[in-house]
Amino acid sequence: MQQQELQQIIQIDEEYSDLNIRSNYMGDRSKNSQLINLLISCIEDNYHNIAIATHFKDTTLSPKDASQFQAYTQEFLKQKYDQSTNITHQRNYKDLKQYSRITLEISDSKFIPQIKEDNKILQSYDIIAIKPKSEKIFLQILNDVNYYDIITFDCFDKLPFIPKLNLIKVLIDRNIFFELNYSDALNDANRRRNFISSASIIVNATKGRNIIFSSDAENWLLHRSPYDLVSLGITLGLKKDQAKQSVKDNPSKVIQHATIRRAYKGIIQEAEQSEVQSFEAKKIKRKNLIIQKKIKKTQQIFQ
Amino acid sequence: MVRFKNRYFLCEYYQDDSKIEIVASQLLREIKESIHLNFGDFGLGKTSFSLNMKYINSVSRIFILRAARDCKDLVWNSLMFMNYLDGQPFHIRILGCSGTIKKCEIKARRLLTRWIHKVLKNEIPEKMKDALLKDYKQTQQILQDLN
Repeated sequence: MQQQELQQIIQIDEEYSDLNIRSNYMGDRSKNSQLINLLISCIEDNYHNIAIATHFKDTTLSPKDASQFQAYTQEFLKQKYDQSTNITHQRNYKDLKQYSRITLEISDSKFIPQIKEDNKILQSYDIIAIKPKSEKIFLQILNDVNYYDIITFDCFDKLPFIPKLNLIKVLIDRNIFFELNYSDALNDANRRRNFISSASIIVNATKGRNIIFSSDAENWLLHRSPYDLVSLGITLGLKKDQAKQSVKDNPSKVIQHATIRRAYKGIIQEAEQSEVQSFEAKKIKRKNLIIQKKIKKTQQIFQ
Repeated sequence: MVRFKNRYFLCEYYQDDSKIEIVASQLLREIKESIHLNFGDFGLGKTSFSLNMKYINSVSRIFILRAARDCKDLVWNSLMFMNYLDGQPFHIRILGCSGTIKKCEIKARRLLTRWIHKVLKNEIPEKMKDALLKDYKQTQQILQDLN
């Protein structure tokens, strides 16, 4: 029952989102021209949610690895958006929400027991993703660990293991999603072949459910709009409904899953004041709508 | 009765430096090369019957492509994979796909009016403003005559 109540409070509308963006820039945030150009091309492509990722490979986390993520303010992005001269779908500027994310690449089983609720370093990130490198680790993650959102696959070399249907059914019941990264396939010919072969294997194994497309890009050149990704999904073997869901519904479910996981044991989340004001304005709108409907009904009866 | 059906793509391209002007024959050649890279001789043969460029404009960077309905997936995916043109970085984005050319042109006109209102708010020297407005009015008339 707790999950249903929380889902009613955190209502997320249907929005497009891209949950994997790289940036290795250290220094002044406002001079990071690569990231800013990427974000503005995302706004023009109709994206609403974005997550910026940091990668760790086979390490135990120390307190210096806590997230140093700060979101850009909407006024700063609106200035840059007005200066660009490209054609867009929208009339006005729409808000772009930014989240922080961590991906852990694991190939040795002694780094698994650090993924638990009490780990304060992991609590500072919004979304957690794991990249397993062998079948033994995949089984350990199924049975022991409970504190993650996404499982990613590296499709550019030979796949390390082939997942089976019985194990994937367990993960689908738990609302965990599988992710495919597409940005390196746009450059190289060899990587394109490996991407198409391994991505179609995974789509076959999961029967097309619970799949997310996301780009692993640093540059605005290697980034594509969600309208194009739907046609990529159709050539890989998804159906039309599933291809639309993989860009529209599934990433917003990931964000819901992440907020519910963080707030489970009574940790309070802070809300921005602008969100609280918009939420209360929506409440008043709904009340007025209900009152107007009642007035119309009574007028129809008495006429 | 079995009719021959077409699909029309409305697209936009953009590049880093806007000094190079792109001609219709050059773009068509590049698209056929990328189809040959990704889908081989088989793909080229299937799509080349009705692959044609209907309209292109270099100031607002819009063009309209025609392809047959059976092989629209091949053309769409190979448009996604294009990255370079003559050594310069280059990027194509698709704004819409429809069965008649009339709907494409209505959408193009609507997007162009929004674009001009946004661009004219910035500070631009007056010569550029006049050139943009002239071009905008010309495209509105050319698009109506495409039917």
